[in-house]
Amino acid sequence: MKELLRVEGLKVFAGGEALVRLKSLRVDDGEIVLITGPSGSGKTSLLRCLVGVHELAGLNYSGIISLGVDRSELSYIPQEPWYGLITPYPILELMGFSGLSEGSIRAYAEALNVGHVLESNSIDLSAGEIQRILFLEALLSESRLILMDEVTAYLDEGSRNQLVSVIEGLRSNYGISFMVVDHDIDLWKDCVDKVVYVSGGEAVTYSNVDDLPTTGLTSKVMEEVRALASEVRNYSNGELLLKAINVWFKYPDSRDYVIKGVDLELSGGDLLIIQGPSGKGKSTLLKIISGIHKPSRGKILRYYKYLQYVPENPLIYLSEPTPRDELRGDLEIAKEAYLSHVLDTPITRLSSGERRRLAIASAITRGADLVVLDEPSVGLDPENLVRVLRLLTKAISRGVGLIVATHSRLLTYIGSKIITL
Amino acid sequence: MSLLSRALSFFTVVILRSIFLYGYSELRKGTILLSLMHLTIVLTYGLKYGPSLLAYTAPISILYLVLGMYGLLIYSLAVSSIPGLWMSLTQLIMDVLKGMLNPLNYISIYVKSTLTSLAILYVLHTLNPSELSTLLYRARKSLGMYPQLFMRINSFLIKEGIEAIYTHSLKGESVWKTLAILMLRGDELTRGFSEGLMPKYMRFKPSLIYSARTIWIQLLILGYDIILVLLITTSWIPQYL
Repeated sequence: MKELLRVEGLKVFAGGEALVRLKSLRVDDGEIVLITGPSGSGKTSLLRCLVGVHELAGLNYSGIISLGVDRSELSYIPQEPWYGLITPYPILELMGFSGLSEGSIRAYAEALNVGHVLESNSIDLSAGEIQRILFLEALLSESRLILMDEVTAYLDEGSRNQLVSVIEGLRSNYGISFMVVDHDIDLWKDCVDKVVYVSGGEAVTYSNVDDLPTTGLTSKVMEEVRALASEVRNYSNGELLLKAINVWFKYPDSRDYVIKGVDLELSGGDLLIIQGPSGKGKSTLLKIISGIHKPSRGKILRYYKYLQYVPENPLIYLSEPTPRDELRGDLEIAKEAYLSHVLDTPITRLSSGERRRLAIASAITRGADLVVLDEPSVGLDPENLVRVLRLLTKAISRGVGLIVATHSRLLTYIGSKIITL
Repeated sequence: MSLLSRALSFFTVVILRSIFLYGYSELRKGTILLSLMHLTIVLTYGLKYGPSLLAYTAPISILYLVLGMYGLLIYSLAVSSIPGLWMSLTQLIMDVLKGMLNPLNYISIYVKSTLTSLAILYVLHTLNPSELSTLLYRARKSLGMYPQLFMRINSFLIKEGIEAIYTHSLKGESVWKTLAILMLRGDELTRGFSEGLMPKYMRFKPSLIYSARTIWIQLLILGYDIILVLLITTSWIPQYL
């Protein structure tokens, strides 16, 4: 077994303060290492140090990080995948970084269900499609060590399972190693060789998933989700907020409709879940509902007074420099969203999960009777996801209508209405 | 949504779509040299013999229509009209102050400016990023990445800007505050793309993508341009232009 990465006595600092400590870790060829832990615990910071992009995020470290491969054989898929795609069209990205011909790239892309977007404008791709393009790019550029931050976050269940089985095959057949940051331990538990659990400033390596301190949490989480689900189903007050009648939509440069004949009805106290594979138009439908896009055909009847829309990238929603300002001093909701400890941290220094919780909490406090959320579960560990579910349930109990596009099983479970695209 | 937010949002959408509406379309698989030659002829002869600009624009408009890119033509005309309107209205105001009006002159200024802007936009629409990257890569390896990165970041920034203007207006934030936030977030954007780019930029080697059909179309347009130049410069036509 060849050593690809060795870490000894690593201490990661953010603005002079110790953030996370990892005693030792060794990654050999053909290994899959899962990095998990609560959101905001420092998983992404750890990964950034391993990749060598820590300084960009204002991080520093002491200790040894030794790479057994050339830097050109290392690939990195960032947590916010749209930053990883640096050309205007995916086909140029894949050709430019792999050196392969258009024809062979097309064949590989078809296998990952992204063949149809190779010549699309990169700004029109869904986050899930970008993640698959970046994954393909890492493979085609013959990387031996691939580090991926929340690479399944924007994928539907089918695509997640497909990705995991592709990774297993690549590890067994080609000896490629993977380091994956993910909250979904169940998804990876049958194929990981090591798990790094990051919590309370310590990163501890386990060789068995069953030894993790989170074991037993799943049943507790499920119990609470079940309770919330039965609660949510009682809150519909029958006051119509929005009605979509036979809505169709296509982008001006497209011949195909991305939304085809959608009908929906939402009343106060309803939680409507929009689900479906990535790239099937979930975010587009939310934008139509929010009024950003106009339907090409069909009608949207609006009866609500105020609407709030939280996009896929929560940073777009936030308009104040710190969580305290964004929540307008509402300490109660900060506590419920588990943000009390970061109230005065600049928004740009919050973790992805913290930003998302903040955007959701902020949207709920603004007195809207309809709140539209795009992928609110991304970047959240099960405990924080349950916190968000509690927040949403509380809003629903006040008669707020919620429309949520998500891949999360837990969120879908508590929905009172479900639409599949 | 306030009127100002709506106007700004509409304006930003039009700009975004006038440049980045289509994916890697057939129009972008030609060569920059032929597009620049067309533009040079338009600027040299089209501006000199005013109404001939219409003749230079005709094949371009037909091309957009043949390729099914009506949207791009409409958005481009909308954006091209901005300098046209600005210049003709300025002239109108000056003439009103002087007390002498010439309606034909304003129409002529408007048409000239709009069609010249459209010719410039045509060059932008036919920029082949793979060709530009390859040329710069050959000049200096590290430069090859920049044209594509520039196109990516600009389109991304405009798209995020549209979403931010709309989302913030729903929150009741003023447009000015949103614009200030967008400026500040430029730093976040730079950091984000640097994080995506740094681990892999050394691997980048651009590949050329051309379409023979597109190059043939460009050559036909250039041939048509040259015939027009010959007609204008050697025959009786100019006296009527």
